[in-house]
Amino acid sequence: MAKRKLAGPLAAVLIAVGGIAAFAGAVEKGAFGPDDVTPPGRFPVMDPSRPVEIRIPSLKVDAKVSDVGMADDGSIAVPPLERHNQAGWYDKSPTPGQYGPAVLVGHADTHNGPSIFHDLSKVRPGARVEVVRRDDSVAVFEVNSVEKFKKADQPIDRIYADFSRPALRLITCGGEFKGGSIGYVDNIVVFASLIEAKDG
Amino acid sequence: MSGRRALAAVAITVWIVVLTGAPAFAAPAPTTPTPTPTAVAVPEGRFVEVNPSTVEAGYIVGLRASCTAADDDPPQDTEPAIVESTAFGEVTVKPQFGYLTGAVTVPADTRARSYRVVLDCPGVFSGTASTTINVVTGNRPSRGPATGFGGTAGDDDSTLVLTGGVVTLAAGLVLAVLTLRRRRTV
Repeated sequence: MAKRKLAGPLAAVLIAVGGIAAFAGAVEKGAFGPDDVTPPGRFPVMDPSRPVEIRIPSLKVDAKVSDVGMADDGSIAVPPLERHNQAGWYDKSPTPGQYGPAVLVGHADTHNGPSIFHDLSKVRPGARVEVVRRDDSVAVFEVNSVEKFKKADQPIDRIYADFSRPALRLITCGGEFKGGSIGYVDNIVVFASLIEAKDG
Repeated sequence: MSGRRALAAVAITVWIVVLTGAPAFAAPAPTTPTPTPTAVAVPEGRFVEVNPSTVEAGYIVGLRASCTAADDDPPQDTEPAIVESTAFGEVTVKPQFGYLTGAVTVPADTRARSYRVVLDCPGVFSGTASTTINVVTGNRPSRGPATGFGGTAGDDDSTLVLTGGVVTLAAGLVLAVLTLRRRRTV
């Protein structure tokens, strides 16, 4: 009898707790995030100048940018471990503000803690990314989408070869961690477009 | 009196906002920074421009120029002219809709750097104009960068929370159904 009396409230509690947890999990996964943002039809174009600093206000990221080249395995090189809180600009890509996709890479984590781009997957479409350049001007980008790709199978043309407008790509690691020479299985790629050019 | 009037004004505003979903008074819109339309602006007088101004070696660019010194919009060019650059050689731009236009492919073996682009107008005193084209190499990575060492791997508990939540929710529902059934049958 006591058992039966308890069953009703217990069911209610389970439903409530389960519902809240399921909702929280879905939110954390980004299931209710805003849709991708289409870039505006008009846009500025800037003269070439190398990036020196990146700011992502919504992630509280404010970091130096150094140049990186190509690694031996055909991937973009990354900043050395002691500079895991800096971003690297791929020096074969356009500078941020020029026509084409400027590519910036950054670590998600070190062996024991988070790095500069750890929360990159939590950036929302519409968020601002500012890149300070050597000529003191600031290229302001708007995030269009945040996507996840397998490291060995990426839409190379979409990421690196869209020269239709000044754009930015932020790349870091994500997905499952395998370790060894593989590391993380996926890359998180943020697609953003130039919307404003500020003079220094 | 004025208080009542103000109240009425507010009431009307709210009413119109409710009806039309738009502010009744055309309040000055917040000054949003308008993107500098460098890409579509009409330069004054004689000019040459390359679009896009940054290009991967091996791809085509559009050229637009004018040899008229007058600041017409659009300019009234009638004579073809020559555009020259180390990046792509000599190209003739021809009159089209008032502008001088043309297209040229930057050879795939062009070295990555900035090149000067010069417009040579016909005639003795007609003058020149210049701009810059930035060539980048099509050196594309074949796989994604190794940007993590795993120090925070497994920190993402969203899957656990979501699964746990769904399981708890299901258990609750099953229990609720059982309880209700039992009550009804008793």
